[in-house]
This record gives sequence, structure tokens and C-alpha cells, in this order.
Amino acid sequence: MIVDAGELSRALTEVVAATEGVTSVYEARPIVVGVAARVVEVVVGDAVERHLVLVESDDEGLRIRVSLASRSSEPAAVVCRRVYRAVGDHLASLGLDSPADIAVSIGRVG
Amino acid sequence: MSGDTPLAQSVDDLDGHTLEELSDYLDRDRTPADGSIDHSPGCQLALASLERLRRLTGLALEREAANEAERGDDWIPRILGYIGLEVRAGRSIPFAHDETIGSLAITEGAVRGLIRDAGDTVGGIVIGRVRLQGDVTVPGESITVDVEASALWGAPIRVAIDEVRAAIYERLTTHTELVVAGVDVAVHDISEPQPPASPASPPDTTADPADRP
Repeated sequence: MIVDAGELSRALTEVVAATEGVTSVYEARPIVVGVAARVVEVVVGDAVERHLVLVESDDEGLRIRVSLASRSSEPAAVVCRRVYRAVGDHLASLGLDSPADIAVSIGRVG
Repeated sequence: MSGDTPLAQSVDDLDGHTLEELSDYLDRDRTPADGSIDHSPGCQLALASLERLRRLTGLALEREAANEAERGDDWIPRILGYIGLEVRAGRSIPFAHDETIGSLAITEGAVRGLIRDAGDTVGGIVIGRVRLQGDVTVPGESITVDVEASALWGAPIRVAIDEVRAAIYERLTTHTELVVAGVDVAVHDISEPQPPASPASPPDTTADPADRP
């Protein structure tokens, strides 16, 4: 299946942001790549803030990387697992059942 | 603001920003919004630490840092330096995970932020350097937390250390799966007393003198 990485990133960013316990979604790309993306943002008029989840693909399949802040009123691990499931469920709903990697990282609590 | 202040020297790269820039961003009430700051966990941790430090000390950090440099004191610049260094993501601390694919984790920077927040919200002391001793990347590995702190003038230090240690332990057991063997808190210096704000606001004389620095 051909995947539009930009479109999938946008959709997953929305999924993660809407997950209970998530207070912020951070840019998962390395900062240098992020700066370059901001230049592209100006050119194509599509906000980087809508593509915070990193979507890559290689010979093994899709690789998803998520960085987020979780609320402090519940354990960070609970929110992290909830986000992992939400991402997996969304991929499955698109027929992308076998990603090579889904990495979810809590970058801040609170 | 001069680029030669201790604040500017404390860190030169927080996802492309400096603590000085972040401090200015706070001064502007985070407007206009800057996505490169708002979507950076390191910058957000640093902003939270700067806000707490401002609240705790009641000082304009930049001015006080410069004044301290002139006096030969260094506790605020040193704490700012630690904030700049420790908000970086650092090691990835895993959460248990049943699935065969993927990984779940919390960053070392986020954990340091939890520790700093726990310490600073107790009051009486300001968290300086934070070190996680041990291999935090290995599930089940026993680690210790070493914290250096500065006491605020007039605070009962022994009480503050006990409360900070308990708060740190509670945060870590709630938000991480680290096996915390100990939390060591060492107070290395004491902030100088600030002049009273007005004659109507005399210094607090109710604390036990034995606990006072």
C-alpha cells in the first residue's frame, strides 16, 4: 500500500492530540529537520504544527515516532500506552496492520 | 539584553534556542507564538523551570544573575545552567510493553523535570543539579537520584530536605517504572537574605532558629 507520509502524519498528530491524558504533541523530528520543515511550511502553506508525528518508511515498513506531554494527574505510562494503542488502532483502520515500529515517548509530564 | 550575561552563557542550544530567548519569551507571555519553542519538550521543560524559579525567588533572574556575578555569588546562574543542560532529552527510560513491535518510554529530561518540579513546589529550597545514577535504560535496574539544592534564606532546611525527598520519590514512583533505591538531597549553598520589601513586611522570625541558616 502506498502511504502519503505527510497525510498520515497529519492524521496521527490529530489522533495523538485527541487522546485522553495528552496535553501537548511535540515535534518528533530532529530539530535540524524540523527547521527545514518550517521553511517548507512557508512555501507550501501547510503548518508544521499539523505534522508533529514522524512517519517514515523503509524496507521493513512504516516507522512511527511520537513525542508528547502527558498530564500529571495520571501515570505517564498509562497515557503512553493509551497513545500507542490509539496510533495502532488508527493504522489498522487504514489497513496498515504491520508497522515496523511505533515509538512513543513522553517528553514532559504536566 | 547583553549576550554576556550568565543567563546567556548558561546554555547555547535548546532545540536551537537559548535560555535567554526563552526568558524573553516568558516576558512576552509567549506571544507571538513560536512553534519551535511550543513544540519542543526541552524548551517547555526549561520554561516551566524558569517560571518556578522566578516564582520561588521573586527575582528578575537576569538582573540577579548579573548582580551575583559581580558579588562573586553564583547560585542562580548555576541553577540556570543546570536547567539548560538537564532539559535535554537524554536517555530513554522504558516502560514495560507487551507488544512485540515498538517502544514506550519517558525521556531522562522529562524525569529530571519531574524531580525539579517536585523539589521546587515543596518550597524552601531550589533544585540545582539532578543526576540519575545507574543504567536507567534497563528495566528493573536499581538506580539512585542525586540532587544538589540551594536553600532559601530562613527556610528550615532539615524539614525542606525531608519533604523534597518524599515528593521526588512520589513523583518517580507515579510516573516512571524506575526502581529507586534512594534519593539523596544535598544542600550546597544558601541564598542571601533579600532586603525587606517594606517596613510593613518584616523578616519571618517564627521559624526555629536551629533550623535557620
